[in-house]
Amino acid sequence: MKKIKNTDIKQLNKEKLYRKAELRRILFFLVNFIIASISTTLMADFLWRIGFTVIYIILLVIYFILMWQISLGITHALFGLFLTPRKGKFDHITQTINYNNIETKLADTAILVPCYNEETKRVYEGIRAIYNSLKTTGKLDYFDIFILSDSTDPNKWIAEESLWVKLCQQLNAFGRIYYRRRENSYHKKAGNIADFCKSWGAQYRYMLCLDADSIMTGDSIVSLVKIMEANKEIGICQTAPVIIRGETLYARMMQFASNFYGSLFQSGLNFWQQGSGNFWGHNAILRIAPFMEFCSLPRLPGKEPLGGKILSHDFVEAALMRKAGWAVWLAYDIGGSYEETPPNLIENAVRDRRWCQGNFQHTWLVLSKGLPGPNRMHMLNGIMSYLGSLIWLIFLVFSTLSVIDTYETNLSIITVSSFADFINMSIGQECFMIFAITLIIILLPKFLSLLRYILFFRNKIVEYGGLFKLFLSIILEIILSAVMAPVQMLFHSKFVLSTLSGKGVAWNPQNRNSEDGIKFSAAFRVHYIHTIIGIVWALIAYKYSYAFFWWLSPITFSMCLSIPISILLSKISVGSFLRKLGLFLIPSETAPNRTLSSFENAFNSDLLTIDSKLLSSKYYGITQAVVDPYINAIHTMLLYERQSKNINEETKPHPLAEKLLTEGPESLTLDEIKSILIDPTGMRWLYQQIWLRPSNTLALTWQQVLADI
Amino acid sequence: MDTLKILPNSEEWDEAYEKVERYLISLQIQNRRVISNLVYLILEKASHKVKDSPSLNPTTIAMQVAHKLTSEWCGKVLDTKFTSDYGIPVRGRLAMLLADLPNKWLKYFLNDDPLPKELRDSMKNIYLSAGPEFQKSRMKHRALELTPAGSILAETFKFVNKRPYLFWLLIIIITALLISLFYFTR
Repeated sequence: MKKIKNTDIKQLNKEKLYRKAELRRILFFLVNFIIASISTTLMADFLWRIGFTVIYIILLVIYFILMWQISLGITHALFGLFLTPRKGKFDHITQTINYNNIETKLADTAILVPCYNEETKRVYEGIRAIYNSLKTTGKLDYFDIFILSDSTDPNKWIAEESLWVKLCQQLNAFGRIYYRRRENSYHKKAGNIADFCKSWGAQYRYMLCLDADSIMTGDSIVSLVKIMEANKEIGICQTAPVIIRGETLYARMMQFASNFYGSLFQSGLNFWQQGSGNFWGHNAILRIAPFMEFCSLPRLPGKEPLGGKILSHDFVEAALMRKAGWAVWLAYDIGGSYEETPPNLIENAVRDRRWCQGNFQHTWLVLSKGLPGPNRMHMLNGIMSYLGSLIWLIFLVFSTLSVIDTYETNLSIITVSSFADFINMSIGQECFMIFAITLIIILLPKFLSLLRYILFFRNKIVEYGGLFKLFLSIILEIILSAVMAPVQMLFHSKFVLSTLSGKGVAWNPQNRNSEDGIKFSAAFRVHYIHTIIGIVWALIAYKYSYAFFWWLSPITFSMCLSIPISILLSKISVGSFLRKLGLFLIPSETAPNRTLSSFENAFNSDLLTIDSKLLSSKYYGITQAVVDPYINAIHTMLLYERQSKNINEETKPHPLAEKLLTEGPESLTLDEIKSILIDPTGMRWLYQQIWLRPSNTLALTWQQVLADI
Repeated sequence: MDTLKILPNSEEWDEAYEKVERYLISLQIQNRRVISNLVYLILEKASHKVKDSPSLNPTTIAMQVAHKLTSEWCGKVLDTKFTSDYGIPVRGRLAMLLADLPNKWLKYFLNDDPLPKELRDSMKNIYLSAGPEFQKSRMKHRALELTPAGSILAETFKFVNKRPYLFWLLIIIITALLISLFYFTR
């Protein structure tokens, strides 16, 4: 928790703030325009000198769009660096509260943990860490925690229920930690949150939305509530979660980037967005009343994937909140906010596929009435983060065609002089200059972050392994990012095209864990097409121009090697090896706070462990819910409560119950098993029957389960 | 051991023994001596019931007895009368779990001795709720208002949605246009 001095506390003047914010946005995007224009001007001159044609105009427009997009990184970083020593002079929301006043009264806040077929132990240990951390703040009484399950896998569902009771027992938190599962996961995560609001929202002033893999410290949570209480015009206050617990090479690289570069960019981001910030869907606090009044998600024109129900709800909710006049702030410097990342390139692509579709749906919001400009900008940036890849691909294809054309026509390039006198260089020098500027735009932010640490946070460098190892980590991160980028470009291009062509995406749970690397066959299935594209492209380039072949080689080589690269990035062993060398270290590993330490200790203990033999069974959920007297009781009680029925002792067989007992769960489909699991009287009947009947009248699976007790 | 002597020496009774034993273990009773005593108690009562229901399997009779005893015991603790036919009631089982009966109060389980007030209180005061009191409220729905450009796009989108081939046709046309531009203007 980064605390600021009491003397820094100030009331933000709303009117003045919004006026200043407009000027800041003009300044910020002007700088971005200038940066993008420098390289584009050189490119324009280069194309002019080799013979300007209509196609080159298109190429130039594409180039400018790309440069605009990648310049955003360096612009954010430059502003971030400039603002770091002047933090007190520029408005940020964390200045508005007194961190030392422990007497401050808070408001009732619900902490929401939506989960969808997640690893139960991981989610619940996160909750334990948050709960215990809140307890140490002395403000626990203001908070209730809700586990909002949309799990469809019976094994996960039953594990969630039984471990919830165990967790509450261990923490003595009955009536403080709640568990609710929806029978129908309508509208996915957004519907899950809306369901909470409709059921219990009226009882709380705020809700802190988390992800299943989120952890937040008690201090940070309390500070967020204080910020909301001190600034009545704020609708959403978003923290900047950093990635932790990465094990694979990919995850460790991502967590290093998130930890080391993150705050520099966020500082720049906060400069121009001010109270027109964005919501990232988790690790953020929301004022419930305006959320319920203004943030119900509208239905988009047409069908999914581009229309219909909104998939990525967060940006939209922030925009609707802003439209209604409520502020949305980024509390980037509040600290104590954590999340996890997919373990490898393929899992990340699965998530990107979903995000890509969600972001493209935002086109409708961009074209809707009444949204503030900055929120339209957030959405456009979201769209461009995927569309940019396709544009890059088109740019590269046209560059290749241009080279082919030059060699096919056997005409030598006769260059003319520059269109501007101030560009006084040869065509070769100009080419190199364009390349160098592009490299600077991409890489400089990383070194600006290093400079920021050297200048202002020198004592923190040790938390990244010391200056030398930190430098090596940056270099390695640059190399790996460069290697991954072409493959990401192909992934994203495919996602954009499939979204635009009307192919939807299924809601799959995220795999946050990984064994030691994905299998070759799995990597081959996903990346063989990238490999083929890389080989063919490299051969074409080689055939026409040896120089062009080498110019394109960072891209084509990465594609050719996408299978081994993807496998390497997914390796825990490689990640561990680098960790031992002191590379990609992050502060939560070298100097973990109490919340994270207690989380790791509990996670590595047996506090919430289910017998691995039971859990490995395909039918763990249904068998335990039938046989185990306590799990059956918990499950039945929750069903009665969810269905608003009084607990009664009536039993009645479900139409499929007899089949379940005599032929076993393997004779039923997943949907049939789920239909039994949602019937409380049927579940009671099954429990009674499984114990009353002699073993030889039961299916073999049941005999085995009973024998294993 | 007298109990065992009165039981017929059959596989069916062996199975009944085993089932009752597993049933007690499933209630998280780990003390072997307590389990043995309770198994004997249940089987003894079951052996007297055989004459009343000769068609029933000993396992079924023994488990009916087990259910009846545990239900009655839970009823006694919770001051409620449960119908034993349904097995231990949900509330009874929850109370046993949440009061940590297997570890803290095992010696009183299925026992006719007077029950300590603390046990009664801890089992009566069980609280297991999925959420606080339900308070239904609504989220106000607002339709999306599109700008004129958005409306045109929505109409176009509706048109293309009904003719999915149009998307690919559009892609082909754009690509062909770009290639033509490239070819004819070089």
